[in-house]
Amino acid sequence: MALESRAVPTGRTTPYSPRPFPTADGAVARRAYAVSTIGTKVILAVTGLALFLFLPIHLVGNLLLLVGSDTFNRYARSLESIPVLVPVAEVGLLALFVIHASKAVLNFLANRRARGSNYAAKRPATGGASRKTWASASMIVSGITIGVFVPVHLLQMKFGAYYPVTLDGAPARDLYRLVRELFHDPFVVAFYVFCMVVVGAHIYHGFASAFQSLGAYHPRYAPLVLLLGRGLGVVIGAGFLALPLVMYAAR
Amino acid sequence: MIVNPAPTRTAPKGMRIALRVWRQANATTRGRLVNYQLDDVSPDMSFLEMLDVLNETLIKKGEEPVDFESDCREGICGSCGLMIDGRAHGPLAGTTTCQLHMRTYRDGDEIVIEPWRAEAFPILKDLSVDRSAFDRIIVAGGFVSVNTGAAPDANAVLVPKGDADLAMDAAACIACGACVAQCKNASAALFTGAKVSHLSLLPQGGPERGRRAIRMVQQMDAEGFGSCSNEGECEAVCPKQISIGTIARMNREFTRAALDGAS
Ligand code: HEM
Ligand code: FES
Repeated sequence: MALESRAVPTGRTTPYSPRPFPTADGAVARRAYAVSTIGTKVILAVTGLALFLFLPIHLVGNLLLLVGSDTFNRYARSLESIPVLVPVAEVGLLALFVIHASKAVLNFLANRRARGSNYAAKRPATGGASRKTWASASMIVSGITIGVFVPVHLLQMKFGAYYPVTLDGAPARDLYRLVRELFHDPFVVAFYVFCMVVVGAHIYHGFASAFQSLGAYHPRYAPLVLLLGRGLGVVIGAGFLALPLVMYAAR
Repeated sequence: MIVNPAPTRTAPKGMRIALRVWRQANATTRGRLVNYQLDDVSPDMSFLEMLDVLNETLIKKGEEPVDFESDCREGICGSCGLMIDGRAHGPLAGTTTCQLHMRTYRDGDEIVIEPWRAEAFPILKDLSVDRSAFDRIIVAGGFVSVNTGAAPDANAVLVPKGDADLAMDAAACIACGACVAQCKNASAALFTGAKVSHLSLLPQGGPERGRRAIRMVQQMDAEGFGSCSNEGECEAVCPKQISIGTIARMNREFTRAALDGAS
């Protein structure tokens, strides 16, 4: 290949022009980083991992549903009673969610453009180094599904019916009853089970992918991180998915 | 590594191979897959020799031969590169197209051959693509500055053994473009990662380290390559089996340089 750029009639071949990172202006530099392919993936990784951290906490709390009505309602009330915790967490999660989802969609579209024309035949590589799975190939699908699930979930739970109950002599919201009634409906149960498989799949690839995006790679530990992420995807997916199933079975 | 299946030739005649080859007259016209039949393919032929035979028959018939690139035909130059049955460089790991041999196939097989497809690699003709985007990424920062004049003492600059090994592994990249071709995002992260890693690991070129990472990545983005989804398909098809660890290193180098305010 010749080093001087050849003029070609089609394609994206931009003539060589060194673009210095515009650092004179800090805001411009931050923007240049944020829109670069690597900066985009770093943002996806940081927001994705932060969103992920919420899930084990949420799961452990939800498992109290299996202990009983009072335990779960008491847990919910004590969470609410911690000053500023819930509002701050909600605003933070919303911001992470919006940034992650919008960056992910823009990134997906840019990546589609980068292929240009499609292959007539395309197959996964045969080498052992590939991490491609059904989960990695469908990140945009699982992501958009989560994007639909979360608002529905919030409408059903947080903004759902308010059943008052008296707990330890004080008024409280009977969230247990809300959940139990929701999971009486087989369609709701099926929807939740499906969405939790999807969340598990997103983590199955996303967890290790985020480490790689952040540049955390070590020949000895990278395979372990991959395994850990896949395990977390399965365990968290299965944990969340068990709740509607168990509550439906025990209705 | 895949073990090649033993040739299953019983008759003295060669194999019959059906080919579906992407034909496209030039960069601006639309291409399509065209069927060809070869009836006497020796298992000892390389894949490119098989295409040479195809071209001889086409020329004899007065037809336009299939345009494809090759140079060394010994797996070191990176010129050859075909999408063979949907896999960059074909079914074998750690192998360039020119090092793929017809003994990998069986009598009666059908093989689909396409060019690399990426917005940043425009198709020139048939199976040949313009990979000069890679050259421009190198020009943007893939070099080290040296003092000319008297030759320096060979061992004046010490390089830790581990770093030298990692740099050498990354330097094995032959810029064939298989990583881009195989990646679902047509990302050049493995190529650029290999080049950034190779040079950033060595003390030579240290002064350009931050600037190099910034400029090479920005050139990569400007060419229209996609981002890395960490599927590792690139490493799996790379004829030099370059590790995606080089991509992680590039991400670190780029982020660090951006934080440092390199330009
Ligand atoms: C609970 C919510 C979510 C969690 C925990 C989560 C987590 C993650 C993580 C850890 C990654 C890996 C980042 C990387 O590879 O660098 C990721 C990637 C991704 N996420 Fe999410 N995510 C969530 C919601 C969403 C939503 C709502 C979308 C909507 C479109 C989405 C779309 C994507 C896509 C497309 C990728 C892959 C990017 C790529 O590698 O090409 N995610 N996610
Ligand atoms: S022709 Fe040189 S690597 Fe194949």
